[in-house]
Amino acid sequence: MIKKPETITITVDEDGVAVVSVSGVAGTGCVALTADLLSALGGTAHEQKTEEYHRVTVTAGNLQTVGQ
Amino acid sequence: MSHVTVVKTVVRDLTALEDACRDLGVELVRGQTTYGWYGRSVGDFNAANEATRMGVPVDQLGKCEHAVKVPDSVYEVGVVRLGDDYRLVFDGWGPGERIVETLGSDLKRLGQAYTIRAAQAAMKTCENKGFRPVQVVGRVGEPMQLVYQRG
Repeated sequence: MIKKPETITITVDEDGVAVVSVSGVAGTGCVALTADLLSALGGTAHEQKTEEYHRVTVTAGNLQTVGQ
Repeated sequence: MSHVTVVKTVVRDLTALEDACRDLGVELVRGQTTYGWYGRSVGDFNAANEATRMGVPVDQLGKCEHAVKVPDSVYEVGVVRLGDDYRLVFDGWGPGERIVETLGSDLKRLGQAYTIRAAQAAMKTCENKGFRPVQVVGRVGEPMQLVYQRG
């Protein structure tokens, strides 16, 4: 059986919202891989996990929005 | 009139911001401590992201730690420290419309370009662990995708 490559995909929409998807990385390894990325992007993260799939959505800049 | 707003993008990497500015044909000037705007607050702007509502004191309007120069624009974008992060502040009224034309409403083009550059810089950690960039899809103004693989 051919092992699928470990893949990190970062999608950034026109509003600067980033979605980080990690596939093929087992266990908690994906969390460690994306830690620096999340810190750098400076947003809050929404995580979805399955056995071999991990997705984090980062909404850039929603930390300090006031009045919304 | 003055419509000074703080845009959503959180800036933590000035080098990434500098690269993003270069990508869009504008220039980050490090150490420039004022940015061009109307010059006084008229107090007629009630948007949720109006600068003083976002935590910028009135007497700090027009002041910054760094600034972004936009070609053919007398107004500029201020890079202002709010809390632990930098935020982008600008006056979009009148001459500020030139900034909006270049960088998008709420500076979304700059925000997206910055996020891409900041992500690429942060991914160096993963590149040290064997990941390699294999694909960049799209361009600023449309959804973009960065793909890294290992193994």
